[in-house]
Formats: sequence, structure tokens, C-alpha cells
Amino acid sequence: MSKSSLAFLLFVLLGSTACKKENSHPQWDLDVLGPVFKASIGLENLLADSLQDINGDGAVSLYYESNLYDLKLDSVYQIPDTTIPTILTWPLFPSVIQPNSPFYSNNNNVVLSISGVQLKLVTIRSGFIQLELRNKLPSKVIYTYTIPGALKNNTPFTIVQEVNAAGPGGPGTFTGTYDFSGYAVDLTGAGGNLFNTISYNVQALSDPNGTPFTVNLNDTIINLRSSLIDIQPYYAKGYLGQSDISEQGVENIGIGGLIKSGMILLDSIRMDMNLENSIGADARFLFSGLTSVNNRTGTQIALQAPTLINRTININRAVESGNSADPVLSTQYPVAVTSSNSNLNAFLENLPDKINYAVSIAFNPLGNISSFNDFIYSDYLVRANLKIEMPLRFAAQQLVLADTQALNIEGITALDPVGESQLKLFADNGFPLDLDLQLFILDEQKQILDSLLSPGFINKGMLDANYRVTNTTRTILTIPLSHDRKQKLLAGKYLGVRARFDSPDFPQKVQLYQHNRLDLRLVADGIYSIR
Amino acid sequence: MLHHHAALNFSFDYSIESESANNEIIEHYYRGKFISNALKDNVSKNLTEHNRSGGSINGGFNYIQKFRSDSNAALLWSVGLHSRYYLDLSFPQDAFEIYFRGNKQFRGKQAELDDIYLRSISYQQFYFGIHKDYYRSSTQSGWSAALALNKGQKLFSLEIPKASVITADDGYYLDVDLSIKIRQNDSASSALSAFNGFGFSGFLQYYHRNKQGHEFRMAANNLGFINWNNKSSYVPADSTFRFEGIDISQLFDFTDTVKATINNDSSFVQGFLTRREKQSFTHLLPFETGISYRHVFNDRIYLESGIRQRWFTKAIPLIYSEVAYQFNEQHKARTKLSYGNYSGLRLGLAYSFNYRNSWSFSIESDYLSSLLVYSSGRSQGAFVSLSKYF
Repeated sequence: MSKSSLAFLLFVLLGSTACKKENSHPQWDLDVLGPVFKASIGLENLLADSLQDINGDGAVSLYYESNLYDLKLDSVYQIPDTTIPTILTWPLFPSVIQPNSPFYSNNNNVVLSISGVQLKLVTIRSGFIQLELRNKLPSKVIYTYTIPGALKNNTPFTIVQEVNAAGPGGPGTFTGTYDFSGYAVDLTGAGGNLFNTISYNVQALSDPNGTPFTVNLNDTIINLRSSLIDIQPYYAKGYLGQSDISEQGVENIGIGGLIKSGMILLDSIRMDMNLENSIGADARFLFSGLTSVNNRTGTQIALQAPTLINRTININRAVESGNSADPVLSTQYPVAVTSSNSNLNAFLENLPDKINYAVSIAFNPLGNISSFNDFIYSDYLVRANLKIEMPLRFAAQQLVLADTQALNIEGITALDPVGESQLKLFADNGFPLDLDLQLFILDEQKQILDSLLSPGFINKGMLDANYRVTNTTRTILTIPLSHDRKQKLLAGKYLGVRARFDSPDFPQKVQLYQHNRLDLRLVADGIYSIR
Repeated sequence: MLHHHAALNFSFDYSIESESANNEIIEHYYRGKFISNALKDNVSKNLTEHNRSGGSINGGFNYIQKFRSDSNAALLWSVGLHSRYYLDLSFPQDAFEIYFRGNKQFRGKQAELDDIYLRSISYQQFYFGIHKDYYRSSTQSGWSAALALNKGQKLFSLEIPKASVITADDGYYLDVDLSIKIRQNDSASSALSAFNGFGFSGFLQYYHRNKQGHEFRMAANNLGFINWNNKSSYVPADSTFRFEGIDISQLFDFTDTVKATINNDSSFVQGFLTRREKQSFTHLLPFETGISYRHVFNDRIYLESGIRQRWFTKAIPLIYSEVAYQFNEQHKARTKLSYGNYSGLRLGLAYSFNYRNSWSFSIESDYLSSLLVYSSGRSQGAFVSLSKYF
């Protein structure tokens, strides 16, 4: 190899070595200072909007409304599936039947298995009638099935269906299902003097284009099975009987799930129980019990309220308005329970997760005084509506709120480039409460990996003589961010938040206002590596 | 002037120059090595209010052939293909400090980031040219003209005419005032084969030589443009915003059991860079003009001086003087003193070797002095060329 070639090769080799990269990206460290996260926490973070009521001066009241009890229609009556067989046989000596000859089975009454009520009329919201036809005759037969008392747009329910003649393989058969919704069905039977009874007719017509055929004694002329399936009524009229319905149930409140421990003293509370009767029958209510249950402590406190508990309450029947859009004029019976006429404070200071209730309702305690003119709309029944209202004015001692959130932080720059740093949590507290805040990083099993704030004491806002916040108070908490802590943050799957509140001068009560806020800001001061 | 019938030439050159950044930090940056505070300090002491840097990489070939020649004139044609890259950068002092050291040094103060300019372009050029030499009794002159087709490969353009960052003393917030324009080629492809833009360039040269051999030359090279296609992205923004951290209020929502998802991009980046468009645009390529004068002392020595200006860039005029010495038919050396473009005074050296009038090899660097004091030198570059004569 010549000297010039060797020199050239060496040049290329050196050049390529000099250009070779150690890493794909340049690398250096930055000293950074700046905000990382911020959060502004107000009452909307603690209470859903539906639970808040704001007064003119911004004072917040806790407002809770729920249907404590809703009567179910099937507690009053229900129309079960019913199958009705219809068989007509030839009663005479053998005869030749000409084409287009009719056979009738009219005024068949079927009593529906509806117990406890005597209905004269029912309007069907949804449901079906199924017909099964079997033709054993040697001619095609045209069947007409009619329920004269079931009207829709003034037209009775009628099905016309032809069934092929019987053959070597057996009788001609047909099965069909028909929509029965929207029909108003008279339940007084063929004579109009019965209850819970449907009347129907069946006509069988020999094929008008067929040939004469012979029938013998006991030959089956009509073999039909009709079935009522999934009948859901919309309206019923008649006598609803003297049913006595008792129910026990649970209404989940969830307050206790949020508050983990501590003591709270509440201000005046008002609970309104509104009993509403939308059924056209007199009703008698009896609340035999309302119990506040705290699952965490196991404490149960029964409500002592003579205006509501163990007091028989008679409520008149509703009336029909004649307005199809809103057909019922309900009867209301409000019952007020306050801190002065009950142990309502203790009932709610128990911080219940749920309220157990026991209620019984009796209809028509005086019998059939309406002469079968009771009515019931499926969408307008009986309910007990519970409203609780209390100013968010309380005294708290070591009251602990806690919650766990899944930590699903996407798009955040990986923490690997973050070197030794110091995080500072700026807390501007506009609540009239001292706060001990703890943030926990939890693993998949919700075991604590790290506690981020130590200490986490945040001073309350500046207060005037009425314990109203005039200005926020800033507290700065320092969180060293070491390599070890960083690894725990990366491994965390959940964020546990625990806040312990203390109101000033317990048992002095403080009012919370809409403008009360706790503003948090996390500032990072440290090394960030560019890699 | 071509003494042969034809010639084929391969060449490659690169250069990096900076008013402030030294070769060491440039090398560390390019090779992905760690840039220490000491390296940054070496740059910081050279920083002025505004700082310029630039670079280029060129590689390719050209072929030239005599079309016809007689005692009075010669007509030649040439073709060539080159791949080119150039970088043009201008930035204020605070931009370097924030970029390499972070914002903590600016706590309680405002970092001034006005007039940041960056343009990085890769393109390929195919040209066709005509050259004419005129021979007279005592003088010789000639001109060259060429037209080139430009294929745009890769573009990144950043213009920040106005910007500032205020870091609160306790880091509580960052106030950013930013007017920015970013242009980039179609992101689908930036490879050598990518056709992301198209344009033309023109080249013109003229020389005159008297009977003593003294030569005057002037040139206007690469007056042209590239029109980048309508898939090129354009992101303008002119806004003032305060960054107070990513909002994670929903993590403290005790009323909601739905998982909270935090996305830093949606917090401020997307909110700021709201306007993203696809549009074509045309930009002018670096256009170089130059004049030079060569004074020939004898068969071996000449002195040449000249001035060049690279238009549509941040480069300042380049002035140079070089002395050449022809040792014999094979060996020739040049030394060159130059100042301008993006850096200061530097000394260069060139060597060429001619083999039997059939091959010619050249290697040169205008930045030898900077390369020899590598850690403090603020420029580097080299040129190599290999020619075959027919």
C-alpha cells in the first residue's frame, strides 16, 4: 500500500472517530426554580354542587334531598303472565261442512290472577298477546280472535289468521305474538259486572275457496291458546283493596365515608319529610324508625321525633287532573323535624354513612268508599321525600377527612432527570380552620410508600371578631426530594390525602363561605438534568 | 481556467464558527458528551449582548469539460451535485444562560431573550453551468454562469423577535412574554431522499487577468430560494402568560371517584401554541458575493486579498489575505489570514498535491489557529478535494 493511500485511510479513520457520538443527545444540568403544581380547593371539592346552597352573603348551607322511600307498583298489584286455552268441539252427529262456514266461541271470560285489588279497567303500557292455533280439520280455517273490551283508538284488539288444513304430518299450526301496548282493557267481563276479567271471542271460518268436509261428534273445531306476556300497566281503575305494605330499607348518605374521625358540633338543622300520595286511594303512613348508622364507629342513633316517628299519618287520596301530560294532582303531607323538636343534631353528628328506615303504608283504611273509583298511575305512586338543610356552620375538633385517588399522571416529564431538589409547598389558607395536611404515596396494595409532608401544619386564615376570614395566611412547607423519595413517587399508584381540621376556640362554631379557599402551590428548586 | 479537456472533482467541507462558543463546547454538544459548568463558564466570558454562530457542511462532485477551444477562447460546460447544510444562529446572552444553566440565576429578575434567530437547512443542489474564457494577446478573462435546481430536505426555522422570562424570587410563578415563529418541514420525512421543497439558484462569476498574471475576480454565488411544500408546519404565537404550575385541583376532589388525569401539555403548552398551520413558504438561500484581487509576484508566489459577504444570514463580511507558494509542479501551499463571517481573526493553511497532471488533492483549513488552541478557539473547519483530469 502506497504512503499516500495509507495517509488517506488514516485520515478517514481519524475523521470518523472524531465524529463518533458518545450519546444521541447532548447532556448538561440545569438549576431550575419554578412552580410545578397548583391546586385551588374550595367547598366544591368537598361537597358536590347539589349538596350546597349559597345564601346571599355567601354563607354555605349543606342541602341534601333524596327520595327516602318510593313505593313500587308491584307492591300494590301486578298482572302475571296468563295462558288461556280455548277448545271448541263438534257437539252433534256427523255433518258436512260447506266452504265459508263459521264457528263461534263468544263471550269467553278469563279471570286474571291479580290479587288484592278489584280492577275494572287497565291501560297497557307494554306487553304482548301470543296466539297458538292448531287446525285438525281437513280444510284451511280462518280464525278471528277479538277482545271487544280492549280498545286502542276506539278499535278493538282483533287478529285474523288463517291456518292450513291438517295433513298426514299432523294438524296445521300457527304461532304469533302481537303487541298489546296502548290498549285500554275493560276488566268487567262479557256482562260488565265482573272484576279482573277479560272477555274475548273466537270465530273460525272454513276456507271459502275450499271443498266441503265432514265433521264428526267431538271433532275439534277450534283449538286456540292465547297468552298474556309481560303485561306492564300504565293505569288502572277499580278498588285497590286494603293493602298494608311494610318496607325496610337503606338510604346511603356517604358522609361517614368521607370523615374518618374526630368530633363535630353542628348548628341548627332542619329536616323536612314530605309524604306524597299520587294514588287515588286514601293512605295511612307510619314511620316506625329512622336510624343513623356510622359504619366506621358502628354507632347507631335512632331519630327521636314525635312529629314523624311512630305517628300515624293519614293522607287523602290524589285526584285525576284531566290533563294527560300531568294526570295526577297529588296530595302532600309535610312533616318538619328540627333541632328543637327532635334529636336531629345527634342523629347527624353521628356522621352517618346510611340511614335505615322502616315504613308501612296502608291503603283504603276505611274500605271501598270510592265505589271502585280508586285509580293508580304507574308513574305516580307514593313517596317520602327527605330534605336536610343545615348551615355549614360547625365546630370541629381533630376532624379527619381522608380520600384516596388513583394517581394517573400522564404526560408529566419523567422524574429521572430531576436531581437533588427541594420542593416547597405554598399553602394560602382562606378557611377559618387549622389544617394538618398529609399526602401519602401508596403502592398498588395501598400501602404507604412515603409521606410527603412532615410537618404538614397549615395555619388558618386571619379571622375577625365573628370568626370570618378577612385574609389568607401563607404557610410554606418544605419537602426535600432525594433520589430515594423520587423512586417512591415513580412507584406510587395512589395518592392518599388526609386532612385534619380544627376550628378555632372549640366549641365555638364557624361558618364556611363560598369564597373560602385553600390554594396550594408546589415550587421546585433544584437540578434538572438534560439527557 | 482548465488546462485539460475535462475534470471530475469530489469535495467535502465543513465549518463551524461562533463569536462566543468555543470548539470544546461545540464538540461536547455534538457528540453528546456532558457539558460541565467549567465549559459553560468558558463561553459565558465571551458572550456579548448579541452573539452569532454559524456553520455549514457541503459535499458533492462536479464535472467540467471543454466544449470547444481555440487560441482565442474556450467554452466549457459543467454539471454538479452537492448536498448542503447550513446553520445560522443569533442569540442574546441571557438565552445561553437560561438554556445551559437554567432560570434559577434569574430569580427575581427578567431574562431578556429578544432576537433569537435560528435557521437550519439541509438541501441538495444539482447544477448546470457554462464557462467561457477569452484569450487575448496580453490579457485573459472569462465568465461562468450556472443554474441549479434545489431540493429541500430538512428545515427548522425559529424566530423570536421578542421574549422575556421573569422568575419570581421564590419561584412562585414564571412570567413569559413571547413572540415566536417556528417553521419546520413535513414531519413525515427528513431523510436525504425527502423532497420537501423545490427551488432554483443562480451562479455568476467573472475574472480578468493581465499580462503580469494579476487577477481580479468577482462572484455572485447561490442567489436562489427554496419553496417548502404546503405540508410544512408553521407555528406562530405572540402571547404573554404566567405559568403557575400544572393544575391538579381535581386530585383533591373528594366528591368525585373518577380518576384524575393530569396532562402537562394541555396545561400550558397547547394553550399557548394554539395556532398550528400547514403552509408552504419560500425562503432565500445564503447568497454569497465576493471580490478578490491576486497579485502575482513570480511563478511561485502570489498574494491574494478579498472580501466576501454572505447575504440573508447573520454573518458579517469576511475579509481575507492569503499567500501561496508553489514549491514545484506537485506541491503547493497557502497560508491565509481571515476575519469575519461568524468569528474573529484566524489563520489557515492549505496544501495541494498535483500528481502527474492527472490527479489533484487539496486539503485546507481556514481555522488552523483555532484548532490548535482547541479549548479556546471559536471556529473550526476543513476542506478536502480530489480531482481527476482527463
